[in-house]
Amino acid sequence: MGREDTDTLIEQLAGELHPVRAMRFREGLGWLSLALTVTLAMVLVWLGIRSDVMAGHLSPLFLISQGLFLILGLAAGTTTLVMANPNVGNRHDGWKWALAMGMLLPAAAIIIAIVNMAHQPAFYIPEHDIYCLVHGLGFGALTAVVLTFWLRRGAPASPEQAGLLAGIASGALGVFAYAFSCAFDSIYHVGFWHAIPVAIAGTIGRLVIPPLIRW
Amino acid sequence: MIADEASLSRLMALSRKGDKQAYSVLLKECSHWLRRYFARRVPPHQLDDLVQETLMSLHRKLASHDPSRPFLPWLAAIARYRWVDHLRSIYRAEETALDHEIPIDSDEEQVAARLSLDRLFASLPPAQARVIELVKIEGHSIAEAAKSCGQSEPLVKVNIHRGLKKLAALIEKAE
Repeated sequence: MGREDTDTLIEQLAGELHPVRAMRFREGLGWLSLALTVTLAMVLVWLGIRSDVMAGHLSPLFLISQGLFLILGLAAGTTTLVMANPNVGNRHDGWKWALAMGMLLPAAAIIIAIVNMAHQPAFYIPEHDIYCLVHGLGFGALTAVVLTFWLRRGAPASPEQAGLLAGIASGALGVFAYAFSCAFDSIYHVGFWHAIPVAIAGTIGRLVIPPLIRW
Repeated sequence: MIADEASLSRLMALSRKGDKQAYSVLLKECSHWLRRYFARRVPPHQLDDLVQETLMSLHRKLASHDPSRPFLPWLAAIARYRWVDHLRSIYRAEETALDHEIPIDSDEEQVAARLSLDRLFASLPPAQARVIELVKIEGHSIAEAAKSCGQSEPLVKVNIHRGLKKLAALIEKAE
């Protein structure tokens, strides 16, 4: 192929042009917010809100953990949205601080477990731990679908990182929504079993999403 | 003379509305810009292919340009992405001479330098940059590259793999 072919290609591409709606961050944020709202509504309709939250008795652990998951989900989610618009000079590092904050929960659980090792802390209670893990992952699915479609429309220059972040955002927002119905406030439960779905979702996103968004 | 940032942004705004004439001019300007952009990092016989691949990517991903941001950094990100992808896909080439003669207009030197492939390449450790340059850009074999830079053949392969991975991660960051 030579320069003449380039001119022919240009005429061909110009002939195919149709008006294009630019991908704006605000529109992506709107879709992300809608996905979170629908996910919250699904949790409320299917599982209901935990009784203490309904009664207005909010535990400190519930508030702190929910705040951390929401911040992590929004930080990873908005970074994913930004990554769809490539630009030399973009920085995508803010989510790392949110992830570091989110890691406080499992870190606290590990420290408390070590301190209380003599009392045989309850790391795993089969009847509800796996249940939370599965629900946290499941309720993140809608966010994952929305972010994957957004990335497919865009041109992420780092598909692997975009996939990882979309996964982390989906897991964190899924756990955030599901936790409104989860009645367990133990640091072991929240620190391990609400954090593990985020790690699993991040891994799935890193492995599954890049082939879908590579361009 | 290649159009400046303001002209390209205006052409892009018209193209987004479906103005085929403006789009044709925009693509022509982009093809000139891309030829010069890739000239010193791709052997001449691969240049047209890479420019055309990048134009097609630009066409498919027009919506990904945010109108509130400058045009050239967006074009450069797409060009870098295609270049790294091109490096991943090519093996030994027959022609190796790189064109160092293409001049850069003084009024765009600053922008071009900031967005350049050289800047991206300079972010790599020297050992990785050297073997990628020898094998993926100049078209030498692994054995020739190993002999030339004093690395073992397995190390050359590892350095190419790691270097390309790092280049892919730096597409937007290195400026």
